[in-house]
Amino acid sequence: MSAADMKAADPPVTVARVTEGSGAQPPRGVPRRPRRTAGALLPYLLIAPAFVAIAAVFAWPLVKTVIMSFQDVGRRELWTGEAAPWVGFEQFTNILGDGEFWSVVWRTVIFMVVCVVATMAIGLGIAMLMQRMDTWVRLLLTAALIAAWSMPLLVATSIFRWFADSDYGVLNMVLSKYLGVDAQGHNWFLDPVQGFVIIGAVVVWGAVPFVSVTLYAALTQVPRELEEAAALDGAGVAGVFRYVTWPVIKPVFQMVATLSVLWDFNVFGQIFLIRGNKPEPEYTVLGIYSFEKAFESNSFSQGAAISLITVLLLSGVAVYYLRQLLKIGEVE
Amino acid sequence: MKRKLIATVGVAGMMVGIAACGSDDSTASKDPKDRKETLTVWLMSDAQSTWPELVKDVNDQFKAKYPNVTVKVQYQQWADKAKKLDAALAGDKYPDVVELGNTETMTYILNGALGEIDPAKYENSDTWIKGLKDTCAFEGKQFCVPYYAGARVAIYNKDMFKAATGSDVLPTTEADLTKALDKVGAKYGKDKAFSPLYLPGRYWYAAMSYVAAYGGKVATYDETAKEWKASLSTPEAQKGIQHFVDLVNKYNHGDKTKDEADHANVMANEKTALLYGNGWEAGSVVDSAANGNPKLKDKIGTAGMPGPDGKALPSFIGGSDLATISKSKVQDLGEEWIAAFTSAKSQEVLASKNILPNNTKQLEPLKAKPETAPIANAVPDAWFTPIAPGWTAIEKKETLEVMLLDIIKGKSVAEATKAADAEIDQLINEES
Amino acid sequence: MSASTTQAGSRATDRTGSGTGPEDRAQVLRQDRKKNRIGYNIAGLAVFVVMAFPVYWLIISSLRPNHEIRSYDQTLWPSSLTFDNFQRAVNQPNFGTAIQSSLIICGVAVLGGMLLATIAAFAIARFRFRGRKFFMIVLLAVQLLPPTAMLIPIYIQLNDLGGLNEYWGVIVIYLVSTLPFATWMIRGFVINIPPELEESAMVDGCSRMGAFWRVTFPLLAPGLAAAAIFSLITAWNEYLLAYVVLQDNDKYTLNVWLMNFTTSRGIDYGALMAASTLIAIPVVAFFLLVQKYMATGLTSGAVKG
Repeated sequence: MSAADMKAADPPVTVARVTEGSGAQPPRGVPRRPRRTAGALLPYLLIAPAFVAIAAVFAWPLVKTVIMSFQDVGRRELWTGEAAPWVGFEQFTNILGDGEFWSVVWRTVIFMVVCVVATMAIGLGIAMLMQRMDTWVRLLLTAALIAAWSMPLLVATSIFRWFADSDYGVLNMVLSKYLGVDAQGHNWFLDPVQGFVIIGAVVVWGAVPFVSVTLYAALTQVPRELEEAAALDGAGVAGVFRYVTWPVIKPVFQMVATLSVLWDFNVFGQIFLIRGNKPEPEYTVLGIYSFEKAFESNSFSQGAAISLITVLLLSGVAVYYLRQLLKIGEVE
Repeated sequence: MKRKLIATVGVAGMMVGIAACGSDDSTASKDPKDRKETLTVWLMSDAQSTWPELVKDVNDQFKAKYPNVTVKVQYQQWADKAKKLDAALAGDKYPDVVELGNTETMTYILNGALGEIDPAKYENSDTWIKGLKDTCAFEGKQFCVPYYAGARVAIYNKDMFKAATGSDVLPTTEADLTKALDKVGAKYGKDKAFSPLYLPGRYWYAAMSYVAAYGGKVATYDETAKEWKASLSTPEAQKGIQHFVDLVNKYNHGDKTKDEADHANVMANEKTALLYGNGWEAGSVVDSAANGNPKLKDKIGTAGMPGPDGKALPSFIGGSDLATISKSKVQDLGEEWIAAFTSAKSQEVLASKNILPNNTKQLEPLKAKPETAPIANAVPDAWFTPIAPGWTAIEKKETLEVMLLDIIKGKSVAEATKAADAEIDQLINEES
Repeated sequence: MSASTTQAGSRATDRTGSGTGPEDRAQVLRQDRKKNRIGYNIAGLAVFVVMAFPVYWLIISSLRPNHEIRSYDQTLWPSSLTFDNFQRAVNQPNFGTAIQSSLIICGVAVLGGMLLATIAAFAIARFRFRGRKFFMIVLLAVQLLPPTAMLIPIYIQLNDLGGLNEYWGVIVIYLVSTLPFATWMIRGFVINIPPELEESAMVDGCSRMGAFWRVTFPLLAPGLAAAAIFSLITAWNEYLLAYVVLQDNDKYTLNVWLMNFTTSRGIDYGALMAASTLIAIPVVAFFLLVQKYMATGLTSGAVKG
């Protein structure tokens, strides 16, 4: 039996119980009927501020993006307000028919999968480690995590760029001086596989603090007693994790993993900066591709179409996550 | 419901934007004292760091004439200025005057973002440096004003040359220069990372200078077909590229696949005796605020870069232009501000900081001044990238850099230039 | 004590349950943990070194003479320590106004975001209502939008709302971009807290919301702390949108101001590193402030209750 089963909220029942409760003991001076209406409205009132804020900022831009993707908007149309010609699905067919686009997609997917798996594995490992170490070590480690996390992207990327520099990088120096490999002058970015390893390191290093701090917060919700009880019942480390820890941290883990997927899929800054603001074709991932189409080739419509295709591709991941959530919803 | 409302607001906002496009001429005849508008100027951060007093002077001057006009100078950063400007021009809070690098003006001109200007209103406009003036012109009309120019020169470590060759003057012919470089290499070559001449393989501005030296061009305009055509695979251009690549392979002992971004750092670390770079890079080498090495102060010299066949190497002419935005309601004020900011007196201030002025008249005295002679002398023979609608896209696609990199990695010049030509032909006539 | 010395770390013994009572076995486990702790501590310190090394490099670079930062002989420790870089960083125009802008924008965005997220999370975790799924999908969908490609549409939207060159324009965007995550995060914590706790409070006369604020809210501390740190760092380090939306130089946030060290004539790395070190201080301070809440999770009492 899992901890989550034991503690899982049961909203419909809860609400029912609440209504019954308030029926039995109506608060003083509050008539029964309006109270009930208020109860039904309450959740809407609660989500209203968040919903309105999101709608105000994103709704129209999203509509606009969709509209743009069926037009041909260049700088002239954007600036002068001249009506942009409608082109139907042309932007989409152009992009989907472009061989370069698909190689970019594959590159992005592979890079994303590797980064997400590495980030989540390392992040969860650190979070569980944090639970088990002494307070002073944990504080030290968390401070390092936060400091790493709070480093601006530009700065963090510059530092990794120096580490990997062909002429004065620490990496080449250590390899040549201490490990006997002649790496002096070796350019890590000529071979995109090596280059992506370096970029992946920047991405994972940058994302691990968020993942481990968040998962650590989730782990604090796992009741110690349950873990101990499970261990006493003969569950091994894996068993305790599977039946006690995992159910509790699962929602947070899934959310963090989903976010990592989204971020790594849209990765832009790290690659852009590490390649000196002009990434080579071998380093073009979707984020860079859509940026180049929108800002560098004067086709905001193509940029918009690529964003929408990206959103559709990502919804694949999102749907899995949503189904999980909604399944929980059904159970509830 | 909510969405619809927001959509309506959005459309209404756009309408206002369109309505605001028509320029309003009625204000032009007003008394200067009655003008109460705000003039927003976007200058690059260089003005803030290197010539802030000029900005202040011009603003004071402007204030004296238009006491009630507020001039707002907003400093921009090279990294993302284009994005900001692209976005700003789509909204209602766009600048009235903007500084543009001379390689980026064409995009804005072609898309109608810049207002036409009358050169007669600007001092020395008859002698504007051609490389800058051309980047502002389209179909016989002028859309921006040259601001300052830059040229590339040889930057060398005098001590190293003296120690290796006995002279701290850079040879004036390439034949003598390579002999000197061989001696420098022999003297300092024990350090494996030392390059007698640090010429990075991806440095396409340098490569194209050698192309220009042999009479080649990146692309030529066909008057009859009204079309640009790539010409990197012509024999002249191929000779130039081969010459460049040979120099890289012979004298660059660092990572050959880099671009010119590390120039100053390599020289500051005394890992090279000679660079081919922007005039101001000589300053960066010794400036501690620019990661330079103050110990090299007074040891760094500049000179004209010798090119093939005993001639000087033609330099790429860089620089900045100033333009008014066509939607601006205070275009006339913008023009006037630019006129003051680029006046002979203002250019004097730039020249005093060893920055090349926008006109050849004020360039003359700089040719006599030892610190500026090399850069000033590089201007007359200078070349510029094709002023073609699709050039920006080619630069963004790094066609030339990829070509050079391929050659460094072993592809033949003939093959690589052919591939580059094909890509250039595809892009160069498309408006971008 | 004796149990641990004889059967250190052996779970097999526990499983066979050879004659020891549950109390003893629990003790074995605890002793076990203590012993393993040394191993965990060493592993933790190793992770610390890896995570902290780039941070160390940042700080040490800010203290190095500028030309040594990218020297060909990299050393762990600089030849001499200097504060020149910090001096140049602090003297860069608009440093003071940038601090102010960042504090206002991020402070309001984080506080507002936490408030909105908490009440929304409460709604989707505790109530079942029509539109709940839709709202959850919206929260997820918003995060799918690629930020760079949305720059122009969002800019135009802010233009229509009148939020250009205004703090509130940036605040709203930051708030909304961190809101979905914060809501998800806090929801994950709310569903792990038994609703019975609130119910018992309601029986004691609290209103539904009152019960939530008084009973559940304090138990959300770790989630809130993690979400707040996430929101703060996201907002604090955002650069492009702030640069594009804010136009007056004295409204620039710290990360936009930071870009002043990058000019067409190269990057003043020393000052950039020094400035980044300074900029990170408020974030780390905020973390130190909230970190103690992150460790206080559900107490055993709460679960049993």
